[in-house]
Amino acid sequence: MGKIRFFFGEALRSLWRNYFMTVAAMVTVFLSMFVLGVVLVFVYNINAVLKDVEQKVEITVYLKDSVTSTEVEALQKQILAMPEVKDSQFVSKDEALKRLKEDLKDHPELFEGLAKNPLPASFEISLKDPQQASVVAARFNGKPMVEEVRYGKELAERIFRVTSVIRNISLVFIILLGGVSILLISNTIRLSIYARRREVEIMKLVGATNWFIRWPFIIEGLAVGLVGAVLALIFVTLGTNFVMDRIRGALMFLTVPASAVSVAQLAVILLGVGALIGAVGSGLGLRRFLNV
Amino acid sequence: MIKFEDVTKIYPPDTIGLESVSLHIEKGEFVFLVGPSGSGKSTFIRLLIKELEPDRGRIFVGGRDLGSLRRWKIPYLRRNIGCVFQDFKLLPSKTVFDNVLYALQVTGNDSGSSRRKVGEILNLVGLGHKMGNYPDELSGGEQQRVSIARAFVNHPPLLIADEPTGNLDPDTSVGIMQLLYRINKTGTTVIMATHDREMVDRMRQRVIALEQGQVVRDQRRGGYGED
Ligand SMILES: Nc1ncnc2c1ncn2[C@@H]1O[C@H](COP(=O)(O)OP(=O)(O)OP(=O)(O)O)[C@@H](O)[C@H]1O
Ligand SMILES: [Mg+2]
Repeated sequence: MGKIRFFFGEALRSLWRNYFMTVAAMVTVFLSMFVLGVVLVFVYNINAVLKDVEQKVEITVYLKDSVTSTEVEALQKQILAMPEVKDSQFVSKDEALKRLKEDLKDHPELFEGLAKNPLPASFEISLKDPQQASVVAARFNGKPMVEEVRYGKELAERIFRVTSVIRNISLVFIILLGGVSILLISNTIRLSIYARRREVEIMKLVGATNWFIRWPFIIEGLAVGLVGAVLALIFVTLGTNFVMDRIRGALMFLTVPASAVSVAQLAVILLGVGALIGAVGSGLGLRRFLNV
Repeated sequence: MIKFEDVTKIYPPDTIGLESVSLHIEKGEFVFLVGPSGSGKSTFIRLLIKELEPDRGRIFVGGRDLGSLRRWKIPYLRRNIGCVFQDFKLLPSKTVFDNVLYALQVTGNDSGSSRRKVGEILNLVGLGHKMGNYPDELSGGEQQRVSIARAFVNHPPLLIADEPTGNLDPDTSVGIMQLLYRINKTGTTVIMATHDREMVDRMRQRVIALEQGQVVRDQRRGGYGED
């Protein structure tokens, strides 16, 4: 217990005494975590938009006019039992016509003199994983009451190609950025430790164990990492809220999700990464100077 | 207590630190290590606390072969050797009081009684009024006395002092000398490297003289120079 207090006391005192290094390291953590945070928010939102686009890939199963209501019910049950299916909506002939009229309400003349409803009834099926569209669609081919199956094959495949490229690029970018952050932060920490290598040597010579020397440094690194990350979190959150408001205002047609990434998620990532790099960086940066 | 067996230390590329030194120091002895500048006194001491490794030969401290001492055990060796360094080696970021206290804290002692002990020892070396100062606010002699206080504070069985009176005025030197002598009388082995001819001649203790890394004289009750 007394030891823990000692370690924290040492860490605080040294943060205070070497305030220039402390500030330099905090700024480094802050900048790295800020950039990382902005990119994360960006990628999260792009991902949300992509998901949204992907969700638009639905299967429409058009039914023959001869189909009976019991057949419809049976088929609905069958569809909902498929593991890939998220939801299935029956659209009757009447409803289809109503929707069309709604869509074309500026041109009521088109519907004048329409003796009989020409539109087929259908099931609109949304999938848990839209990439499964072709597999699921194939099951309806050749069923007696089915007139036609459509799922925008071409479009779907093009969307998936693009989204997967975008996802891979963002992933690589985040990994690179993470790597650069680690290098940058651990370099700053190493610099601050290097400035105190004589002290470390003296501590060893008067009988301190490696861990006795290490703990205050780790706590220092942890504190620097946390403070830098908290600052980054605040700025990222405020900044993205501001920017997202603008974007939403400008791009009405895109459904930008309100909270693709929650503050909590972002906090866990930024604080975790910041604290970890700070603590581990200090612990490892010390290694060279403990060999006395 | 201490045994050197044919110990040679060469600083790369070819500076001789110590050469073929063999000697034996018993528990409770008081030993002066004398010799001109560069003769290997500090090298001898740095080998004892395993700050340096010998290139040849073996060193035993308290019956333990330092060559086969595991790395993680070195701190425990050093806690049993109080060392007054020639260049003091005080922590610049700590006050006088905290510098001395640190030697107790590394052993896990950070209680009220250790603080009291630190206060006492600092009064003993005449620095009671400078406990809150930082090393760079002290004179050379004052820093030296802090280093001495730190080396004594946990009563190690072996005390090594590398020119502990080098920066002190004659009166203070005598005071420090008497302190070392009293410590020795309580059973602590004391090794002291020094240039202080008068002191050595007066004390009439064992004298080991080094020259260019070699032991040129080892005398039971010797003086600084040849008698
Ligand atoms: N780190 C080092 N690297 C290279 N040579 C060294 C090193 N330390 C000491 N030496 C050399 O080793 C020899 C012995 O040095 P040492 O410090 O042991 O002498 P000393 O007897 O303590 O001298 P002084 O009385 O001046 O303190 C000297 O020639 C010195 O130049
Ligand atoms: Mg010397």
